[in-house]
Amino acid sequence: MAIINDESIEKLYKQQQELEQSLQYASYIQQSLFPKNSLIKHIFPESFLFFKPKDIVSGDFYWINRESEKTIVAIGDSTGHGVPGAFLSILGISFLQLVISRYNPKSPAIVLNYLREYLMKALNQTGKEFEQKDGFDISLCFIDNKSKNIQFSGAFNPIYIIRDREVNQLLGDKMPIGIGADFEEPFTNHEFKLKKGDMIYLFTDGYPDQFGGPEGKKYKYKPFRKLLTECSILRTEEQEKKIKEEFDRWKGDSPQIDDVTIFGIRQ
Amino acid sequence: METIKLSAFRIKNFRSIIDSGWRSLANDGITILIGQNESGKTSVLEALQSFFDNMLLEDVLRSDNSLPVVSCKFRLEDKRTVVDLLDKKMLENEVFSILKEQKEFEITREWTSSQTNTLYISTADVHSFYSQKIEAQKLLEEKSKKEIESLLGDTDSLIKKLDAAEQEKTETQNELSAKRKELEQKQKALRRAKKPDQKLIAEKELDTCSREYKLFEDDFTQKLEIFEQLKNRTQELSEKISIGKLYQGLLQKQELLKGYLADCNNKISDLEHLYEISTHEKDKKGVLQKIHQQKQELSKLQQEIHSVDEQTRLQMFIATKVFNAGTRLKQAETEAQKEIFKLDKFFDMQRIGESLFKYIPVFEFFEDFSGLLPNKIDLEDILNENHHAEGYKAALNFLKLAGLEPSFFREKNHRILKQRIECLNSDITINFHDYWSQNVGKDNRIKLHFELEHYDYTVPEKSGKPYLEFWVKDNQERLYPKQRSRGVRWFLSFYLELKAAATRNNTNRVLLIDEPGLSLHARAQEDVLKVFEDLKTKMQVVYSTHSPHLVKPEKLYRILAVQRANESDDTSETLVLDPNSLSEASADTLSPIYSLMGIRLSEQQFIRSEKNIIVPDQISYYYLTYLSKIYPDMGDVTFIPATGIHTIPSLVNILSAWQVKYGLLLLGSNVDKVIEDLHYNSLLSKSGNSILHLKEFEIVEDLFSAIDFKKLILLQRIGITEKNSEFIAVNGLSRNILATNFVNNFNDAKFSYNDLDESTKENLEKLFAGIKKIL
Repeated sequence: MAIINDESIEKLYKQQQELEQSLQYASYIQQSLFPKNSLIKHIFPESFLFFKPKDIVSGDFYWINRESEKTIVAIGDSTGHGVPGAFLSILGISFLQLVISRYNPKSPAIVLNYLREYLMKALNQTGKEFEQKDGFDISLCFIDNKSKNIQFSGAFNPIYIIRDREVNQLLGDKMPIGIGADFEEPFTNHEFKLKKGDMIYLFTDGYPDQFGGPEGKKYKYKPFRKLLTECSILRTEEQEKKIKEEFDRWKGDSPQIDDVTIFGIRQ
Repeated sequence: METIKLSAFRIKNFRSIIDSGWRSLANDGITILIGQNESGKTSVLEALQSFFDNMLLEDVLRSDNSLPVVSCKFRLEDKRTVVDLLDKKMLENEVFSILKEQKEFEITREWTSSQTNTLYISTADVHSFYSQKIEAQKLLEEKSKKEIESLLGDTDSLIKKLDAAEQEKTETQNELSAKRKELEQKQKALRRAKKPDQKLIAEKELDTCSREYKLFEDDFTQKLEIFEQLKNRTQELSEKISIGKLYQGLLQKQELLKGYLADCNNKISDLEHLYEISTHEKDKKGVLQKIHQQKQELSKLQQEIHSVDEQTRLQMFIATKVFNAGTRLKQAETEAQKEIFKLDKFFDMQRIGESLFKYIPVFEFFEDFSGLLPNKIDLEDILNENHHAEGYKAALNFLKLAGLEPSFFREKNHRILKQRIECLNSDITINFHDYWSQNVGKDNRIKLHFELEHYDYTVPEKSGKPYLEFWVKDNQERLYPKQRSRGVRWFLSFYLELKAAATRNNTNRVLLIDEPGLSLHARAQEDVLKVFEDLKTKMQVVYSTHSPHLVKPEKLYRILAVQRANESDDTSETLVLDPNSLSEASADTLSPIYSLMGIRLSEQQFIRSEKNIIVPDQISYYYLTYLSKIYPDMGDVTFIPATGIHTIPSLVNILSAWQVKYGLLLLGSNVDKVIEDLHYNSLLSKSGNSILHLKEFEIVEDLFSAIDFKKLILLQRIGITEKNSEFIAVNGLSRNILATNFVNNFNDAKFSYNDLDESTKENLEKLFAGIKKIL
């Protein structure tokens, strides 16, 4: 039987401290890969980002890039969370940057096709039985700077566009970035004509999947859409505040089960 | 359904073939060996047949005494892996883990003499595992062998030394005894001496004698010691000596028996030759009896050799332990037996090879059966085995299938014979659906029928003589075979041969056919090709030909070109070139393809007067031909394959001379030299033809997005981030096999244009819009 004495407690405490410091440092590195708030505000003056990782480092990630003709926005959700999720999120951001700069793709669907190839190759995924199915889900939008047309493609993740309290859902394909159950099929490209005042929401499943409330149940998508619909008429700063409050209220004393990201953009 | 297919072969030291290299069979079931006469096409087929039936004709052996080695790869096309074909308990862990995920295995038959060979698994990793083991055991055996030889060499001198030591010891012992007696006498003399001077002398003499005795005693002790040492050493070595002698004896016996075996085999070969040249039945019978006796002798010898081999193996294991590990004999015997038991518990390379061999398809070799089923054949020709009689072989096959041996017809009374025939069910029903999709007869089922008839006065020279008459019957009519087309007759004869030659109740077959339909005219040869096209779903077909009618221009991936290294020298080495290397084949070898182009040209089918596009190679030809069929509103376009970038100027030259209108499609960045040549020779501008050069696609496969490439061509799930051309090159993939996958998917209607990925569509749009522009 192991003897727990002051010395071993001290040692454990030290190890934990080192681990936390190390993770904290990793978190700075991860943060540096995400676009700065100032950049987000510069590109989308009326927007908010509700980003709440479950652990010090996050499996969720977000990425924005403005080009002369279009603006690219992505929200990703890696398999798992914590350190493994963070590694995948770094791969996700790196590959996203690589694909967009190397191929100059015309649609987000093409980006997702390439992303999947890169990830499968990096993780040696070949579809064999018992192979790790690591990867990530993602929503990717191309917003035309002039026409304000939005192109969207998603790996599992949808986006919502709310206009006059009416929710337009653009659904993602039911396949991940990474190896899926079936042979790879091309991702679908969706187009939507935006109007001034429309709210675009990109998000991961952390919010609707959060357990809480009086019966300890999942928040679910219907109330989530209702919440966003109610928020859509508010100023983005207020939206962020309301979303956060609602999350804390619902979660109560329950533990956070996954990373949470919601990105709202007003047109 | 059997799902193990022959996927590739490699032939070494077989007639003119020194090393064919690994050559893959086409994925779609038909492989064609093209080449001129004497190029070695038949040798390829015969080598494959020898691999299967373990028979080797004398004339295949090379003059340099190298012995044939034929290896074949087989692919499992169902869910099983190689270990599922084997008794898993019999596999060592290492072998099991190598084979557990493998879908392909390789077996080699290697001849060790003209009569003997071994069959073993030669799948690289397994082979290397066993080779290392064998090598280690061999080294140990060599070491023991050397020690035995040196020990037995030393034994003689040791025994001589022992004898000499014993003799010296005995001599010294005798001298010592004599000295002892002398000493005793001197002691007596001293005791007897009364006077002082006598006493003094006696004392002196005793003293001298005592000293001498001491010297003798020391000498004897030394000699005894030497003798004892030698004696002990001899006793110590006696175990090793007896093991060594026994082992050497066994080796000598092995050599002797092998000599007897070779003599016996030679005698059998001589007798078989004698049997072939004997003309009289009685002589043949006598020779046959002797062959039988020799074969019995051979079998006894083989058993004896096996037993001696086992004893030698055990003795070698014992020797290895005694000599190398210093184990005592008794213990070594027990350990060796245990070790051999453990080894025999697992399969070795040979036993794995033999076990897998049971699952491979049956190889059946057909030589040209030029004898099509005749209308009739004289009974005399059947009885006299007149091979030159028209349709002899087909008639004989028919009778075999009807269950009749030629002896049945020896009945001299024709009336009785006719009666007997009438009592038989002399029909053979052929279900054409089995092998051929073409409609023949009302329900695709016809009957072959025979009757015994006699010539009448209209054939005066044969009047009264019997003949067998054949009929082809279906629901609608009864016709002589010759009233049917030659294609149908060929098929009937082929069917009879196929059935008559069916050796095992196994439908999984590889048909090896030498020059099929050689005697048929062009149209009938095309029918033969149709038969093979239908057969390919049920069995693999490998045939040799130099007929253009037996080659499909759009399926050049099926071709293996066979030619001599030096075409003007029939004794030079045979080379087998795969479809990727057809451009290296000589014009003579490729003549069926060139003829084919010529034929089609004359028929206005292959090249039209306009709307032709020259493409760099045959692979591009396949892809583009099929893609153009599904591309919306492409209209008529004919693709003409060059045999590589560098042959484009020649092809352009020919087409310009024929005044054919064409466009030229060039891909990739490495074609500037060709374009320069064409402009330099004003080949394009002369006839107003133009070039479409798409630099961004290195090869035609680059037109596909990674998703489509994987799904339609590669048939594998793997991340591809490079261009498809780069992926193919880096992974050493065969473009022909990939093209076959694509063509098969296309033929199985597994995709339409709308199913293609947007990126692929965009590329095709660019390509076909460009083609339309230059047409």
